[in-house]
Amino acid sequence: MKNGEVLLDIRNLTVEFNAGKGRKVCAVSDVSFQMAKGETLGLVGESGCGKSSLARAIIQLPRPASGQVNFNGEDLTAVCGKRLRRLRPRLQMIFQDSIAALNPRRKVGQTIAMPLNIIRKGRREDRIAMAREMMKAVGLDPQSSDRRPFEFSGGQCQRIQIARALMAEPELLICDEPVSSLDVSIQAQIINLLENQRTRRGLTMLFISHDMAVVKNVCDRVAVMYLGKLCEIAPAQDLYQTPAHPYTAALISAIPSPDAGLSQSRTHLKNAEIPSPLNPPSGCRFHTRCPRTRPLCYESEPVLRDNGQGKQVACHFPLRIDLNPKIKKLISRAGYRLGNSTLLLGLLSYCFSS
Amino acid sequence: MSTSAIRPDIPLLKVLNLRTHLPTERGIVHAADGVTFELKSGKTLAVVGESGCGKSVLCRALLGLLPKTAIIGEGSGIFYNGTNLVELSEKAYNKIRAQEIAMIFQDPLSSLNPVMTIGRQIAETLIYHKKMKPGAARRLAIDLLQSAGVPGPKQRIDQYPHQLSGGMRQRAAIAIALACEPKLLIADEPTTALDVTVQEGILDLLGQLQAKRQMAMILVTHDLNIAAARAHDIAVMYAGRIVEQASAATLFSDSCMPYTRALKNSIPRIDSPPHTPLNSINGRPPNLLRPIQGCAFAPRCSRTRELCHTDRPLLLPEPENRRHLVACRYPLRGAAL
Repeated sequence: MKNGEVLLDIRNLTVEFNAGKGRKVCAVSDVSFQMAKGETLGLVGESGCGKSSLARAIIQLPRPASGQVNFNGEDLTAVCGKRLRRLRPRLQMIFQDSIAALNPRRKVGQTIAMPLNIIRKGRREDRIAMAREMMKAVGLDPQSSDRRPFEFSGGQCQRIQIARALMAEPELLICDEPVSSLDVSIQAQIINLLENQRTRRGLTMLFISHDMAVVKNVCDRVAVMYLGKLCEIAPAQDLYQTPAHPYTAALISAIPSPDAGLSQSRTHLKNAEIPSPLNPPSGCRFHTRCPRTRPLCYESEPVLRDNGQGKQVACHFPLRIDLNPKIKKLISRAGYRLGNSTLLLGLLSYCFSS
Repeated sequence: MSTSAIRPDIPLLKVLNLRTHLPTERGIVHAADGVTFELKSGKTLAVVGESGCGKSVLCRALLGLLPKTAIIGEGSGIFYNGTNLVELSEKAYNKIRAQEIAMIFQDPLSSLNPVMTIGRQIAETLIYHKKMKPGAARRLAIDLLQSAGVPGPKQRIDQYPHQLSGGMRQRAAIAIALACEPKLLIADEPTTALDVTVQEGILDLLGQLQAKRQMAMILVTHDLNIAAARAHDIAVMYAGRIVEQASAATLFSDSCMPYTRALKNSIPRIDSPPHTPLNSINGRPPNLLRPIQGCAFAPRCSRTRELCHTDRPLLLPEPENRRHLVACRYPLRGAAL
C-alpha cells in the first residue's frame, strides 16, 4: 500500500444472507484490507464472488454480520443511524446499471441536487444552480436538467450518477462496475471522466470490475476476490506481471488478447465453474479449480499473508516471484503454466551459470 | 430445400445489399442499411460494432426471425448455398433453421425454455427435424451435451435451465444449436453475459466444434480482442453498414477506416501503466431513425472533410489488398497508431 494516511480500514468483515430453510450464505467472509487516502483500489473477481456485497457492506447497505469498517478512525458498523446519515455524504457509490439507479420519474436536475437536500447543504434556491454547475463538470448539457432519465443514453446516465455522487463532496467513491454495460468508446469517456474528477477532488476510489484491462488502467493497487475471500492484494503493475496466486494468474491469462492469434496457449483451470457459496469447498476454496492443488490445500485454509514485497497472498504454494528482471522476462516468456518446478530449475541454472 | 449437398463452387452464404426497415413507435429504424458480405464453409467471420449498430438485426434477418412487421428492402438478398432465403415461405424457412443455419443467443436464460428440461429441449429439435424416436433422441441428446462439455450429461439432461450455471446454460444452448448439424452457426454475443474464465472455455468449445464439423460461423461481438483472437475475418459495422472488412491480422495491423482505429485505440491496454488516459471517441453513434446523409461516422471523425457530409462512401477494396474492404473516402494508410 502507498504510504500515507489510512482512510478506510476494514477488519474481518463478514456479510451473510439468509438463503431460506435456515441456511446462510456467506457472501463475504473474514475480509480485511486498508485503503490509503487518494488511492484507487481495484476489486476483481468472477460474478458471485462477493464484490458488490463487500462494497455495499462498506456503506452499511445492509449492515454486515460482523467485522469492522473503520472510516477515518470511526467504526461505521458501531455508529447509530443518525451519525451514519451524517457520515454517508463522505462515502458515495456509483452503481452498474445506471438507468435502474436513477429515479425515472424525477428530472435529472432534481436527482443531482437531491444529495444537497438530504444533507441540507446550501440554500434551497441555489441547489438547482449547483446541480447545473456539476452537470457541466461531468460533460452534460446543463440545459437538459429538466429532462428525465429515459431521454438519456447509457453513457449519459452514468454521467448523471457520477454527478449525483460528487454533489455530496465525498472522500471515498465506490464504483461498482461503472463501465461494464457501456460500449468501449463510451467506456473510455467515462473512465477518463472518473480519472479527471479523482485527481481534481483528491478522491479515494474503490473500483469494482470484472474487466482486468480496465482495472489495470485505473487502479494503483488491485485486490482479487474469490468466493467471499481475498486471495491476493498487490500493486497493479506487480499483480499483472508476476501474479502470486494461481487464481490471479488464471484471470490474467483469460483476458482475450488480439496478439495471441488463433492458436492460444493459456493457463487452464481444472474446472470452469465457480462452486456454490452456499457450500464452499474445504481448505483452500480455490482447490476445486486450481491446477496446482496438493493435499494440504484440501485440509487447511490459507490466510492472507504479506510476502514482504508489498504483496499479500493467500496461498500455500504461491507462484514464486524471483528478484532478477532477466529471469522475470524469461519466465513470462515461458508462461506461467510450466509451474513452479520449472521456474525453480530455471532459477537454479541461472544462479549456477552466472 | 432439403439438406442438399454444399456446393463447393459458390460461397456458403452471400449477403447482398441487405436492408431492413423496422417500424417502431418512434419511426422506422433502418438497422441494417445495405450489408454485403460472403462467407465460406469452415471459416469464421466476426461482426464487431457498438450496441445499436445493427449486428443483432443482421443475425435475426439471416434466420428470418425479424418481427412480422419488419420489411426487407427491395434488392436485398441472402443467398445460402445458392438459394435466396428472402424469397422463401415460412414453411420452407423452417427447414433451413436448425438443419442448415442455427443460432446461439447472448442470454441463454432467456433463450432456453424455463419449464422444459434441457434434454427435452435438445430432443425436441431432433424429433421435429430429424424425425427421430424419443428414445433415440434422448440418447443423442446425452452425446450432444457431452460433446458440448457438460460434465455428467446423464444427470444434467433431466435438469431445468435454472438449475444450471450461466456457462453450463450456454453449453446446453450450443448443444441444441448443433443438434441437427447445421452448416452455418450464428453466435450472437455468446459470451457477453459470462465471466472471462468461462468465456474462454465457451469460445474454445465453439472453435473446436467448428473445426471438427467444418461449419461456417458468424461470431457477433462487441469485443475487438475476441474477434481478433477467434475469427478468420472481421467485419466492423457502424450505423447499419459494414465500414471495414479484412482478415483478422490485417484489420489489427493496417486498419484504414478511422472508426476502426478509434475503436481499437479506445480499448484499455493491459500493458499500459495505471492512470493512463484512454483515447475516447467523442459523441455517440447516430440515431438510426433518421436517414443518414454522407458518411455516418463523419460527425465523430477527426479527419472529416466537406465531401464526407454529403456523399456516403461505398465499401471498396484497397488497391494493395483486394480482400481488405474499406468504406472511407480518406482512408488512413501506413502504420497503425
